Amino acid sequence: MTKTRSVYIESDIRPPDPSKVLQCILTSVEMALLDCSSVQLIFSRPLLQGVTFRKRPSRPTVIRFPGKKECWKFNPSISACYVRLFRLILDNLNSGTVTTRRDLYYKDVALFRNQATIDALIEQLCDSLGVKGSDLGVFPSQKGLIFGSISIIYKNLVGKECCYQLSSSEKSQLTPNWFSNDVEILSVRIPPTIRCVIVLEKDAVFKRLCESSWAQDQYILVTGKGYPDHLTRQFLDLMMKHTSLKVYGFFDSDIYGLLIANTYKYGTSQDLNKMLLEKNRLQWAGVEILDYTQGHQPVRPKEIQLMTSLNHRLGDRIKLLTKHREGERCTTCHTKSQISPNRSNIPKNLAKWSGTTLDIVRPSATPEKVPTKILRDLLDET
Amino acid sequence: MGKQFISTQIIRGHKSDVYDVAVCSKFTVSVSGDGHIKTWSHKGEEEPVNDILVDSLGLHHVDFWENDGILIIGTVAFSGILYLFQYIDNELVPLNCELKKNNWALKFHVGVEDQKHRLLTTQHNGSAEVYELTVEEGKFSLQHEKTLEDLNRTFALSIDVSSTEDSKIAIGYMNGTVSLYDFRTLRSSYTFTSTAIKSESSAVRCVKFSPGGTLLAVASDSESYGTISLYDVKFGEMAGSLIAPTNSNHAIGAGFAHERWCFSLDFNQDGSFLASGGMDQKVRIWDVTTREVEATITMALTDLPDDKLTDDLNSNSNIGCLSLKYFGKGIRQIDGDDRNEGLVLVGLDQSVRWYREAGGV
Repeated sequence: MTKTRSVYIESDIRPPDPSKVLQCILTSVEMALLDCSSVQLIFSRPLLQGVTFRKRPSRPTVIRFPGKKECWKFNPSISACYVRLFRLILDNLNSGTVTTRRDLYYKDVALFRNQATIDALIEQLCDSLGVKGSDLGVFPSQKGLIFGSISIIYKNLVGKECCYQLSSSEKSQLTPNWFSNDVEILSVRIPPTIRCVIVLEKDAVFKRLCESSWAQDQYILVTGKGYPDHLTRQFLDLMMKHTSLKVYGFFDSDIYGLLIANTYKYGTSQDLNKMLLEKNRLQWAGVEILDYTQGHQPVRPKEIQLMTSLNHRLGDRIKLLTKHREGERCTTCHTKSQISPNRSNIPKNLAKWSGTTLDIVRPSATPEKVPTKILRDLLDET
Repeated sequence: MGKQFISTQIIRGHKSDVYDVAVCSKFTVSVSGDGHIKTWSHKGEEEPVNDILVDSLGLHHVDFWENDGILIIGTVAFSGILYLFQYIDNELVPLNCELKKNNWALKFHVGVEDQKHRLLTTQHNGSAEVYELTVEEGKFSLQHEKTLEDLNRTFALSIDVSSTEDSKIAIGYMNGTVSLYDFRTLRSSYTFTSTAIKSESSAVRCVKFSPGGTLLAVASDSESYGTISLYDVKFGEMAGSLIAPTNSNHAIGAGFAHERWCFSLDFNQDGSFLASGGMDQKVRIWDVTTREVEATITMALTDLPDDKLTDDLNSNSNIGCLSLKYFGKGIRQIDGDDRNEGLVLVGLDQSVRWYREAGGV
């Protein structure tokens, strides 16, 4: 009769100290190996399979080490995964290094087999202990890029005041990953010449605009390189909460552009399922299909279907006339077009949109337009 | 000798782009991307007589069938569903019929002499469905007759049926081809391929038969321009094209009718004039025999009353004509409108505009 040690992983200790818990788990495992007994890890939160649709927890919350092969559908040695992961995290915590989930996965691809395993295990550990990923030293990877002049002063996790600065004379940088909801932002300073924040779908256009003199000290440019990740959206949230700048988004006139615009505005389908529907100030500013005089491409039937289903979803929950209308126009014209870095329609459309906001207030005043000289310079360079 | 067109009424009646319009004896009916179908009385009242929200996805085509005192209106939504209504006692009563989904364009045909009455629709996959329409003792029914398959398998954008005894059906596709079918036998007779440089950008936006059934006008894209070609139906040959006069210096290879895409065509009652409306905010009236422009109507936002300009429709918005129809003398009864033929235009400015030809008898 082998004895079984039980280790509870739950969040009743305040504040939770992940390194202590992990040390405890690993010590129990070592001792179990030495005296041929087994260890039970009892998590207070279940392991959830799949990342997008969380209907029912499908895995038990008790993990035995050594584990039984038939328990696990997607990974015969899930208990080995746990132990390996905990060892990696503990080592990082002890040495003070930070890493990303992707890095952890690549440390032992043969064992983990796919990224989803790591994601699920880390989620379970965080949920059970009541900590965030950053407490375990696991930070999200940075994907988006920003460009402009910003200066942010914040209090980091240990209460120290830090300053994050970005200058428009430098090249663009990856979105910063030090902020999470717990970090206290003390101040955000931007030069008064900045007119608005521009969000772009493609990084090719982003790079083009960064290199031209058009955006220097006039705009803050952000791109998520396609679908935005959490960090990019959090950064935009930060900009919208702490400044009163307008945020305009420029996306391709096809279904993918509209879907990306929706992700910026409302979050991913995962967030929709969780009903985290916090609308933000981002205004979809184009480019409309009818603004293009060339570069139209044929549409595939699948894209028309996607467009129809998007309009279906838009119609129910959110009344968004402009995007719905754009979807209809794209379907009627039956073409799509993309913003290309060689002929950037953005200055023209931005002029359209800047004009829009002023027209409501003072219809008689001349709308604010991008100065024609800068416009010409930009187009001449192409 | 130029014609003049006078604007008689403009109503900003919809909340989104107005995609199609039709004029029957009782009213003008318009459908819009906001999903509503609205009927406007011929007496010129500002409020629509009927206003129904059909499909929140938006409506893009409308057509009607009027015979023997029965009026049926059909409209297609962006969801692909075809809705049918019968006009009874000043109300639009929805009809339930077993119809295929994934429709795009539709066309009713009132049978001439002993022809059948039919409803034709084009599908997303490029085929066309033919339904036979019968009315017995006031009861209306549709029977699916045949599917006209297309070998091209591209999106079928437009359809028309000529209203003569020797009827033909014309279907225009996304890749620039137009197929002609014989109405009686439902067999293919001619196929015209696009003459544009790039066939991907030569979608056939509109096909229209002349009232005599001899000519077929085809509006297709050419890059970002809109071209209008005329075809002889009997011999299957190209009869000419309509080219707008331009003062610009650079010679364009093939002329064009509109500077942007041309979305809609309509012949007048005797087939002597053809009206074309495009995304360049212009509507041109052409003399069919001389192929010259007789009149040009420009759609401008300033035509709408000032207090109607809003966030989604202002001086920076795109304006263009999406559909137009001619109507005959005596149909509209306001402001001396019954003196001459008239035109009704709809488009991206969310309004329905009525014009009449100036000068009367």
